[in-house]
This record gives sequence, C-alpha cells and structure tokens, in this order.
Amino acid sequence: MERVANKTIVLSLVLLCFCLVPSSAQETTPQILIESRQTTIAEVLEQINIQSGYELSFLEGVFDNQKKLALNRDIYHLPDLLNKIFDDEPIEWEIEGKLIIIRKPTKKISRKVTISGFVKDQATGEDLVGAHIINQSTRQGIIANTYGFFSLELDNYPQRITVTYVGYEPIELELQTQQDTLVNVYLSANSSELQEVIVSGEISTYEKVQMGAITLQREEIKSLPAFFGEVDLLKTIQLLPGVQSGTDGSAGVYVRGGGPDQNLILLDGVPVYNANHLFGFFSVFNADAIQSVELIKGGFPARYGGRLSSVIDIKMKEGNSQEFQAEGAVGNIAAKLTLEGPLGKNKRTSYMLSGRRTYLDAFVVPIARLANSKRIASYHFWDVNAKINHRFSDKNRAFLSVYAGRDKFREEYTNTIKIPNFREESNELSGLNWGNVTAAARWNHIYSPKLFGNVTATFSRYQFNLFTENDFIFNISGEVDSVFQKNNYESSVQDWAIKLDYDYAPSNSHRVRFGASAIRHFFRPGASRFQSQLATDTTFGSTEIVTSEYYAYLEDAWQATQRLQFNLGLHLSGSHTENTFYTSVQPRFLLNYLVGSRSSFRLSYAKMAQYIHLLVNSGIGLPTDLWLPVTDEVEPQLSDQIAIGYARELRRNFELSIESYYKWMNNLIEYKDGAGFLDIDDSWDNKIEVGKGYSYGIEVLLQRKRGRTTGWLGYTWSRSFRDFENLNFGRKFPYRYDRPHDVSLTLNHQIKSNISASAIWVFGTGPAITLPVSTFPVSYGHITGNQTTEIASNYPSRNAARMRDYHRLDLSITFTKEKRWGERKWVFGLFNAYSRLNPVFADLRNEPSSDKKFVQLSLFPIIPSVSYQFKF
Amino acid sequence: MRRISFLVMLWLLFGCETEFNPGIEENPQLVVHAFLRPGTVPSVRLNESQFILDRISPNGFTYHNHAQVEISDQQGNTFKLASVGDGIYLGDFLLEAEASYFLKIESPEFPLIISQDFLPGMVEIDSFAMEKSLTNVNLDDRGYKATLSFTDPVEKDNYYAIEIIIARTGATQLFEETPGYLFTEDTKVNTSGNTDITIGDDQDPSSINANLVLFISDINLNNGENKFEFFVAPLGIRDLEQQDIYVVLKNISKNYYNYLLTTSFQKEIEEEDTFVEPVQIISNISNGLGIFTAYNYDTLKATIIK
Repeated sequence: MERVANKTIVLSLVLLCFCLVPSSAQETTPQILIESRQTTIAEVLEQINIQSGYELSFLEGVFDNQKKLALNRDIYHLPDLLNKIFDDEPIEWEIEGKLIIIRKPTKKISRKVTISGFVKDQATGEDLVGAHIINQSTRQGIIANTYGFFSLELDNYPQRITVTYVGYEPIELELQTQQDTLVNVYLSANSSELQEVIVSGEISTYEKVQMGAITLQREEIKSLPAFFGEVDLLKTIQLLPGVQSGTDGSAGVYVRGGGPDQNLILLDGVPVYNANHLFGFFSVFNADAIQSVELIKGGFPARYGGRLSSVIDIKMKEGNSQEFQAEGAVGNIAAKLTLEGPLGKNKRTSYMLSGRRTYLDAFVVPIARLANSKRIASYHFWDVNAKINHRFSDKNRAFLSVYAGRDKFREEYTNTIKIPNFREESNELSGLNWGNVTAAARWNHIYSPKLFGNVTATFSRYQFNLFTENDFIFNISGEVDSVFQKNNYESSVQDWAIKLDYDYAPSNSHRVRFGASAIRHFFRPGASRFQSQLATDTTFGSTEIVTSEYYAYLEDAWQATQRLQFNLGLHLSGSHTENTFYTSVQPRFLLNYLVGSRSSFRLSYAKMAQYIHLLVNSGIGLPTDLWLPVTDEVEPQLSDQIAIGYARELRRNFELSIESYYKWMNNLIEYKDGAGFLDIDDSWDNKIEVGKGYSYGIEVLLQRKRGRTTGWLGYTWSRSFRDFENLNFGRKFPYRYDRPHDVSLTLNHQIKSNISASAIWVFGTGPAITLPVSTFPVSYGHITGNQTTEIASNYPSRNAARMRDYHRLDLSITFTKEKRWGERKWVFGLFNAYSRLNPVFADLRNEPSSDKKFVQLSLFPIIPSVSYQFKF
Repeated sequence: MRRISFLVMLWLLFGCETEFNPGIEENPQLVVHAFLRPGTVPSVRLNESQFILDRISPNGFTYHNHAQVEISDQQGNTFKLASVGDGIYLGDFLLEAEASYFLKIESPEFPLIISQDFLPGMVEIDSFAMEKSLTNVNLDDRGYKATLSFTDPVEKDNYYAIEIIIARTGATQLFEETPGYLFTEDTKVNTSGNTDITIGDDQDPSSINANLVLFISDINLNNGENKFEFFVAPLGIRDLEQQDIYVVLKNISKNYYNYLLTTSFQKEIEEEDTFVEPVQIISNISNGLGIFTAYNYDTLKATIIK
C-alpha cells in the first residue's frame, strides 16, 4: 500500500476472512458463561475467545481494555454480552463468521469522499484487473477496470474498504479522510493455500454483470496440455462453450456460428488480423507474454464494436516493476525467452520483452544440403512481444507495446539434365511469407477521482506474400538459351487508429464509460506481378483501397438495486468508403438479476456492425484469406443477438452457467462456387456472393476455479446456417463450422506441491463437407450434334455430408523444482493420447486400380512433447 | 501457383489417409439433355445417374428408353415424343423461335419431371474474319486469330455461345460437318463465361484450353455493336484452301448459359484439385439432372485474311 503525498490519512490493515454470517442470528451464536461479577473488558473478551472459539479483532487503544465491568453471574448470548461490554463506549462491533470485529463507529460525514486508485500485485507491480473493492459499511462493491483503476464513493467516517482478488490475500483499509483520496493498493498472492490451485482474478460468474464472457488467466492457459509442447491461447479459447475450432490442430476460432473474421482479436487494444502461425497450428500469442485474455461472445458492452461475433481482449504483461525476472522454455519445435523488470532506481518504469522462434529448419536444411537433396523445404516462424510502461506520477502513466511476428516457408528445387549435346539446368524457388506487426502507445490519466481516461494510438499491419521463381538454362550443342518466369502475389491490410476511452463514476451505482475512435484502413486485397523473358513486367489485380471507420460509444453499468444490475449502452459507428458513408446505430442492453444468494438470471441484446470482410478460401486456415473493405456494392456485415442465461455458484467451489442465444447476420460474404484467391486476374468483388446467416444454441459451462482439482466441463448444442441467393441453388445450407454437439473437458490436478497433471478431452460432431452423391453425363449441345459426353458430379447440397466425429485426449504432467537460481519445470505431454485419426479434409478417391471410395485425411496421430521451462 | 505445395508437403510429413463412409445414399435420377432450336424437331435424351461409388460401365451411363416424354407449347398444344433407342426421344413437329416450351416426363421408376425454357430470337452475325496464319495465343499455344462482329440487343440480358464448324469446301449439310475448337480461358466466377474480351493478351497469364464452345454473357459487352476477338485452335484445320471455317453464334437462354458455366467450371476445379468449394451444376430439371433448353443461332463463313 502506498501513501499519497499531501493527504493526511491514517491507514490500518486487518486481514479478514470473508464468510459473512448475519450478526443478529442469536440462536446460532454461542452462549458465554460469566462467573465473576467484577471483571475487566479484557477478561470478558478472553472468556469469549475461550468459550466460543471466536477470534477478536481490534486496534490497540480503540477502547480501554482494563475498564471494570459489573456483570451479573449468568449465561449470555454473545451479541447481548458484547452490547453490555461496550454499552458506554463509543464502539461498534460486528461478527463475521468466527471473527468479532471491534472498532470505532463510522459516522456520516457532511460530504461524500471518493477513494480512487489502482490495485496491483505486490510482487510484480502488475495491475490486477477486475479486483473487487467493497465499502464495508454498505457492502456495496465495485470492480477495478482494465488498468486496475477503481473509484468508490463513501459517505461514512472513517472509511473502511476491503479489496479482494481471488488467489490473493484480501486487504482491509481504514481511511480517516475528509477529502477525495488517491490510494494504490498492493495485494499479495495467497500463501495459505499452497496445496490448492487457485485461478486468480475472477469474481463468481453469477456476480458478473457481463454475460457471455469468460476470462482466462495466464496460469490457467499454461497449465493445460500443449500442442507440440507449445501452449496456445487460442487453442485454450477453443475449449470454451460456444467456440468451435477449425480443423485438427488449427487455431481458428468460430464463435456462436460466426466466421473467423467476426472476432475482434485485440492485443493490448490493437486488432490483430491474422492470429495464426504455421497455417493455423499455432496462434501468434506467446503465452509467456500474456497476462490475461477475456472472451466475450454476446451481450457486448457498448465500448466494443467492429466485429459481429466475439471480442478476444488479450492483455500483454506489463513487466515486473519490482525486480528483474526471466522466464523461458525449450519445447519440441520452439524456444522462447521472456525478460522483464524495472528500469531505473525509482521503479517508475518497467519493461517486458519476449521472443519465440521455431528451430526445426536449423537442423533440416543443413542435413538436406549435406545429402545433396534436389528439393529443400524449410519453415520457421518467430515473434516478439515488447512492452514498456512508465509512471510519470500517480495520475499519469504511459505504455508502449509492440508485437511483430513472421512465418516463412521456402522451397528450392534444383535439377540438371545431361544428355549428349544437351544440358538443362533448372532452378525453382517458391515461398510463402506472412506476418503481423502491431503497436500501441497509450496514455492513462486520472482527471479526477471519478474520471479516468485513456488516449491510445495504434498501428496494425498484416502482410501476405506468395512467390515462385523458375529459371531454366539450356545448352544445346554449345548454344545457350534461358527462360525465366517470376510470379509474385501480395495482399495486405494496414490500420492507423486513435481512440479515447473514459471511465466516469458519478456514484457507486453508476459507472459510465464513453469514448470515440477513428481508424484509417489501407487494404491491398491481392495484387500479382508476372515477369518472364517474353512478356513485359506486369502488375494486375486489386489496387490499394483506403477506407475510414469511426465510432463513439456511451455505456452505463447501473446498479439499480442490490439485486438488479444493468449495462445499457449505445455504439454509433460509420465507415466512409468510395462514394458511400455507411452508418450504424447499435443499442446494447444487458440485465443481471441476482436470484437468491448464489445465482443470477441474465438477459442481453446487442446489435453489431462490421465494416471489413474476410474472404475465406478454404476451411484449413490458410494465410491466403483476404481482408476486404466495404465498398459501394459490398455493404457492412450486421448482426443482432439475443441471449438469456443463468449462473449459479454451487458447493465445493463449482460454478455453473447456462446460456442460450439466437443470432441473425446480414451481408455476409462467401466465395462463389469454385472461386479462390488464386484467380489472380479477377477482381475480388467479382468473386463473392452476399447473403445471410443465422445461428442458435445452448451453452453449458461447469467450472471449478479453486481446489487441488480445477478445470471446466463445457457443452454446446448449436446450429449455424447460411442463406445465399446464388449458392446452393438459393437454399439454406449448414455453415462450414456447424457442429451441433461440442464437448470439452479440462482438468488440472495438483498431485503434490511440485507435481501437477492436466488433461483435455474434446468431442465435436464431424465437420460439414460438400460431397458428391452421384455421377451423370453432361453434353454441351454442339450444333453439329457432336455427342462428346463428359462426366459430372452431382452435389445436391452444400455442406450436407459430415466427416467423422472429432474427439481427442491430451495429457500432460509438470514437475516443478525450486533451484538456487530460481525455478525449473519439466513438462511432458501427449497430444491425441489415444491416437484418434481425426478428419481434416475428405475427398473422393477415384483411381483406376482400386474401388472408388471416400477418404479422409488426418494430420496428427499421437504426438509426445517435452518442454523444459525455467524462471528466475 | 495452382498447387499449394506447402500443404502437400505437410501432409506428406504428417498426413494419414483412411477410408470413411459418410453415409451417403442416393437413388438414380433421370438425366435430361434437350437442346431445342428452331426449324428442327425436338430431341430429348434420357440417361440414369449412377451412385458416386459405382464405376461407369464401358458402355457409359444407362439409357432410359421407357419413359413418357411430352413437350407442350405456350398455346397448350402437347406433343408426345417417340423413343428411338439409346435414350433418345424424337418429336414430329418443328420448333419455332420466340416461344416457350414445356417438358413433362413420366416413368414408373422416377418421380415426375417437368421443365421449361424459352426459345429466343436470332442475333445476326455482322461479320466474321479469321487470319490465315497462326499467332501466339500465349507462351505455349498458337491459334488462328478471329474477329466476330454482331449487334447485342439493348433491351435485355443476352447470353451467347460461339462454335466453329470445319466444313469441306462446298459441303451442303453444314451441321453434319466436323466441329472445330476454340481457345478459351479458365472459367471464372465473374459471369463472363469461359473467356473475356482480352483473351490472348500477353498480359493475361490464364491458362488456355481448347474447347468446343465459347460462351459469354453480355455483362462485359457493350449493348449494341460488338467486335469480339478470339482464337480458333488449329485442331482439325489442315488446309484452308480445301476447308471452310464457319462460326455459329448461338443466342442462348440463361439456363443454358448457367449450365455451360457450371459444368465447365466443375470440370476445371476437379482437374486442378484446389481447395475450394465444389461447383454445383445448375439444372432446370425438377426432380432430375441435366438441361432442357432452347437456342437460336446464325452462321457465317469466315473471311480468311492473309
């Protein structure tokens, strides 16, 4: 805890347990036998402690504990006895569980005082997002925002507040101040539950106003089995109800029947356009550089917009502001290192730098060269996360965060043919590169104890490039000739944006957020350059398109009564493109009603608009998918979603939530039948169809966040359809990621203090696929009556068939050991432990030598992994 | 470029292929082919489709010879077609331009089939010329550059198919002569058919195929006079002194155009094995497959340019 200059305040701390019991319930309180008529307060309190087992909490000097008391010899109910003891004292008491708190009475003061500040981790100085700050007098609480900032209004004196955060020791503050006060609260990680795994940071699901939202902390993500030894944030998100995954191993995220473009993936507030490494088998987010991630699937608050289906808000670590720390790992395919710590002596600045690279190419390519292989293929990806934040004063902070990553695939083929009087040398090179760069510069300012603001400038760029180069040199009887061809295909999207976000707390019942943003998009949706020795250099395809997007929002989180909460908001957005200015008014509504003491009922409605489209080439997560703007002809995507839910806290630290939703989507785009990104000489807007979609479903989540065994069980029943006038003969068809049944079970068990095991089991209905059911002859009807007949396939309906059901078990075990220099971990894992051959792609095999048959391709059988991790 | 080599490599490294049964059940359907043109008797050919996992016999698809086939005109006159074997049914009346025709097929093994189409008016060819010498179409292919002029009617959407006939000089039964081939491009999705106006342009990297029919919609044409350039493949052309080259300009219905577009597109996609959604072939046959369509046409002998 930190005292703020120029404020005369007195702070005292009492550590408490928070198991509230009504103090008036005399029949449940113990009785105390007083035998001596002449006694002191101290002696009576001692008797209470001995006979009842209740602990007492009070500050020295609050009352005179040697004061004589005259009591009748009798048996007293505890509350009656406490009233008699402090009858003449300016003292109030309270029983909380088995704790008796004795203190000076609070009193109403003439003006309300606002206590504001940040909640931080004692050890690292990182903000504790979502910490609970409770006014002890009224039991009213508020939640710290994304930056750990809170603002609580109190009208009693002295001011007593409690700050809690799951996984941390709660803290009680007593302030004696007559004026608005700024305090920074530091919480320590809970040390009393070493044998328990505690997923920190979450209040109970039923208490959250936000519905359709799930927060995952870094330790939660890192505790699950890893794919090729590399833990992955998006793969963890895929395990949540309402989220469908793509093909086996893919990091694609499809939320409530939406497409992959309908997720607003924010890394420190900056949109990331392509979140995939290695064709989607890994996401670009290095778990070591991440602090937390929040997924919102419905009931979107007004501050979010620009995508239809979800917000995946990823917060990068700020860096330990207290001490230097290093963390790293070497896994099957990648190695990574994260450094963080304070800069300067005053610890006002902290940094975090994290890097990761795959290293298989470092072995494969030299070996291939040594073996004189004609074909040499190599692949690697790398990414870097960096963040620096500086505290100019208690009211001013600045952040700069940067992400850069790149995937590079390259294939070389060299060959020489020699025959008498002839020699041909061929050199072929092809490659595929893609990657993102994002950057955010942010300034936090506390304008007043009630008003917190952010100004953020962001940059995001995604680039994709595919090239081939062919060189042939002929030597025919000494006469040399050469032929070359070069093709280069590029697409990119780039954003510059500025946004303002304000957080205003006019009272404890209202928390108003408002803000605005302007974004400039630069799209280059596919341009090709063709060169050869015959033709002149030629560039064709789409040219750069520049569009602008704007939004403003206002939302109020309103605590109407003790049981009823609302989040009401309005999001206004617009986009200027070519000759059209599109606008959208998006009301947002969310209701949370507490039913009983441990459950709540929720209802939400959200309208969303999206001014960019993703033209998806296939279901296999290729980086070739094109980001496209709205145009005069291609209108913004729109959706309406209603959701209803129920959440309940159960016994033994279990929480249950059930949500049901219905979502309508308009102006969706799809490639026309047979169209692909490689139709390079055709403009993209000629290749698309525009249509509608709708989805509905029920999601059940049972989770346990405390105890030696934690995890969750999620089940989703859902359907998702598309309806395009010019696709599937105008009939509706299941969306590519329509999976009626989806189950995920994750478990993490702390076997010993240094050994933990985890498991994931997932099940999903087989992916939808379009397969032919029959063959038939076709004739073109040449006027000569030429009966040249060809054979065609009959595809009666799009996505009408199903591949095999998907299921998989992953296991891992972690051995942790404290060393003199820090901590090391060995993590052993099995991906797809029972080696289920899950479908990625299906096709008709029609080879003359065998029967015609349908075959499915599976990518990953059982894959063991080992990872060595260290931290100091 | 077309082959996505990195995926192939990945699958070679990790992939595992297994047979699976998607639970598809399909009863055979009737496949109709009828291309009506004015001044001729109607002809309808019927085949039966085959389950996808069955191999096609050396004799081809099964003909269906015992259906009741009727064609009606817009005045309500109904004409029965007679089976002449090999799945072919012939009518005994002459078809007229600018009239609608209706098809009805009844067969005990199949559900009732109905269809209809409109036989449009003729679009006249203004001129047709072909160069005598071969020209580079692209880096690999050579063809005879040809220019076709015609006037696209302004008032409605039109669809055209262009065909070539290689006739012996002096032949009298033109439609019994040899069909010629044209160079067409890879079919595209922008409804311009299997070519665009710049076919053969050096700047266009599309691969070129030799096909019997070149088809276009007027979406890329100026309503009114059009000069359309394309290449005739040298297949079958041996001596332009002994052979006459005719062009046929078919004014086709939208049904016919969509059928041509989707059939050629499906073939191309399956050959290239790219990872795109398969193309569904558009049909105007209810409860069946194939096409019942009508077209009008004009022909003109090429003026050979030396």
